[in-house]
Amino acid sequence: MKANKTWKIGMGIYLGMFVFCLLFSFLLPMDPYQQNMTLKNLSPARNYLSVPKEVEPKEVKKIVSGASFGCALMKSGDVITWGDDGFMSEPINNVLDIAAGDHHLVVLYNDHSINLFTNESVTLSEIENNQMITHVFASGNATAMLYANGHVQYSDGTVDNERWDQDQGHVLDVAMNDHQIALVLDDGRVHMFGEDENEIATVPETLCPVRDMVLSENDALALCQDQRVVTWGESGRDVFSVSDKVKMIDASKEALFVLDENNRIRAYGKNTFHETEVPNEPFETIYADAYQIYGIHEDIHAWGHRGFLMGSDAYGRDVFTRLVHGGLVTMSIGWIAVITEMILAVLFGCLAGYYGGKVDGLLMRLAELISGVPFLPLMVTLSAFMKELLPESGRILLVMIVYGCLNAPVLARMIRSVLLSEKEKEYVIAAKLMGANTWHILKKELFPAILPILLVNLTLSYADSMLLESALSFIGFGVAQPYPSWGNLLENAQSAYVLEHCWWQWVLPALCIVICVFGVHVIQEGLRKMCDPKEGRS
Amino acid sequence: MKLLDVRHLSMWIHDGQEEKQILNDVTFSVDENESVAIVGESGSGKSQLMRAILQLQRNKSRFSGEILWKGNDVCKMKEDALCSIRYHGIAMMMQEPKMSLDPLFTVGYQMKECLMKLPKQMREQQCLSLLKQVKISDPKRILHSYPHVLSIGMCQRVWMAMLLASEAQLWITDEPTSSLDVCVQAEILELLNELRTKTKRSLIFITHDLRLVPTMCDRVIVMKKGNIHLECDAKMLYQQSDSYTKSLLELEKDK
Repeated sequence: MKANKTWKIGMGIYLGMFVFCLLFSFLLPMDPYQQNMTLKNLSPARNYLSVPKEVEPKEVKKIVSGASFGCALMKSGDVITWGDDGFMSEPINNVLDIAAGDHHLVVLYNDHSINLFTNESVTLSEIENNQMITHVFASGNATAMLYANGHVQYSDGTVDNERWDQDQGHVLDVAMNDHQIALVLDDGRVHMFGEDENEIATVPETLCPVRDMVLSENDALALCQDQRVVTWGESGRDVFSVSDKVKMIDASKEALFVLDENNRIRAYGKNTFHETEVPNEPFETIYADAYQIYGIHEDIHAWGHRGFLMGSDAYGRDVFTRLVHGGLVTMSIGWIAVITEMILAVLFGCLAGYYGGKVDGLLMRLAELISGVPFLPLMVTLSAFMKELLPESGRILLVMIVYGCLNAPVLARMIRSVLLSEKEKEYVIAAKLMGANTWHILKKELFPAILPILLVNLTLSYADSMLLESALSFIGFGVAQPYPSWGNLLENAQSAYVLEHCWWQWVLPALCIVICVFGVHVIQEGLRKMCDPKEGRS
Repeated sequence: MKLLDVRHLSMWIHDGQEEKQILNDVTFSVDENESVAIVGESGSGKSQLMRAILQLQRNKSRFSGEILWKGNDVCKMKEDALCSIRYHGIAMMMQEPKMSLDPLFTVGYQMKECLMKLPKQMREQQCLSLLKQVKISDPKRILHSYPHVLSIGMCQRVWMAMLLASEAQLWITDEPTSSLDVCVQAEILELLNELRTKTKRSLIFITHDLRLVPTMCDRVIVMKKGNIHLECDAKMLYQQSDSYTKSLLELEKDK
């Protein structure tokens, strides 16, 4: 293969990766501190909103969603599922009501028996004897069952059933989020149980009689009997200024939705997965759950969370986003090492090689001294030592500068030896005979002579420094969490669970490193050929 | 005034530890349009003398005596002044024509560097015509070749073209034929002689092949161990009766 072509291919691979990371890091901004344990360890998918065609909009009775799946209950009593629905392989028929938590689906059959489908360790408590269940509710890992006699049974463990003993028998409706439960009583009052520190826990004292109620993680939304809405919670009171009467309310984990009499949906809340970007159309019904929202108007419109293209990690963060941001970190950090190495090596190599004699002797002894420093132990101690002095993000810069400094002697030595032999060669003396001055000889004769080893060695050490960053981050001394780099994405692979079940968390960053390093090596090979006139250009 | 006048030149070279005398009280001169041969066994100091004239190893050497180029002592010149004498006043062709071309650039690129005074678009044309003058039949191909693909004879011609390009009044050729076979040797020497007489330049012709001297040169200087052993008219060389010259001549007969 022609040398020219070789390095262009390598450059294409490397620059392709770099531009790809750069582009997507602009398109996908990242908050390194953001976590979402609900969405942890999800496999790559984009089908959470792909409602199958057999879900006839007019026949839909209810749509629920979990973290990674969606379910529609049809008026015929059939349940149709989509998304990551492998755990519901058998057909589900004759169903009265369904509810979905993050990773489980509770099904209430027409015969009032109940069943649980789950891909995690979710359990249901014993059903009260001789009582008929009429509705089921679920959120997070919790499930609640409403009996015909107005009793509520909560099955999770975080909220004690006995706390609402006085309300038993009077409950009309239940609203849940992951940590709390709201009971709507037959006299229109609302009682909240669960986490007490939360702003939702303090129900407004002058609350109108409530007909329906929903909870997001941070806010509560109640629909009064006169069709007005009231909200309270973290976002404060009454975030909706709706003058129209409200037909229907619902809430996803992070947003509240109201559907008014003019069939307009208004949304309020976080827009992490574009939940509040409501299509500009009239809707008849709205179903919001988890991070998915379905609005029905002739067709089913779905928006919200589609799934993670490359899955999510143990903290529910998008692997793809972290991959592109981490790529930038890894690739730019490599440059720091290379530039440090180049400056030092060229400076000292040229001084030693051109002047020779005592300068050479002194500099080479210095180089030997530096080469004698063991890198890994130094790095580990430095990292530990610098923990207090430097910010987390500065530590890896230090690591790379030190790496460049420690690598420089090797390259300086090569430059020196090439200069020592080249400067005595006939063509350099010939150049002098041709009237060339020192600067011209350095620039036109000696620099081109050291350029090949400079380029080849620098590309090699660039690849090495990327691998080093990965290795150091892998053992926890490089780029510190939560900032991503390809190396610390690989850190996940230290857990056997991830290694076995979540291939996307370590195969993808490993692949990126391999491709990138391979590209750099191809560049190096091409450059080597190109700089050698006997192989490349003639 | 003589073009080049070397008076009582002695030179010592030090290589870190010890200092070694290379030249001892050398005196000779070169007139305009004159051709001088310097002969001697290897190690007699012929090449070192040339290096001294061009001040190539300044930082390693110590001089006594004078080397006057048009009346100015090169030993006392600054480096910049030397740069304008090298090639522009005294152009030298080295022993290894191939090795002394930069392996990383094409012949054309290196030739053009000698033609910096010309406007850019004319340089290529000038290169081609120079290469034609040294009797290269396909100058275009040579111009775009790297040195390593050319034969030694071809490189020799390239160097001659570069000498032609300079305005130097004095050419120095350091054993120009030592790495060539006999046929090419004759061609090159003929060419060198022809070009020199045509352009009226002076020549210092360094060789250990005494047979070439009478045809190439007017005068001959025989060197031995850093001293000038003998100086005479080139045609008188074969009549010399001293043992050193005789032994040099004997060597040639054996070849």
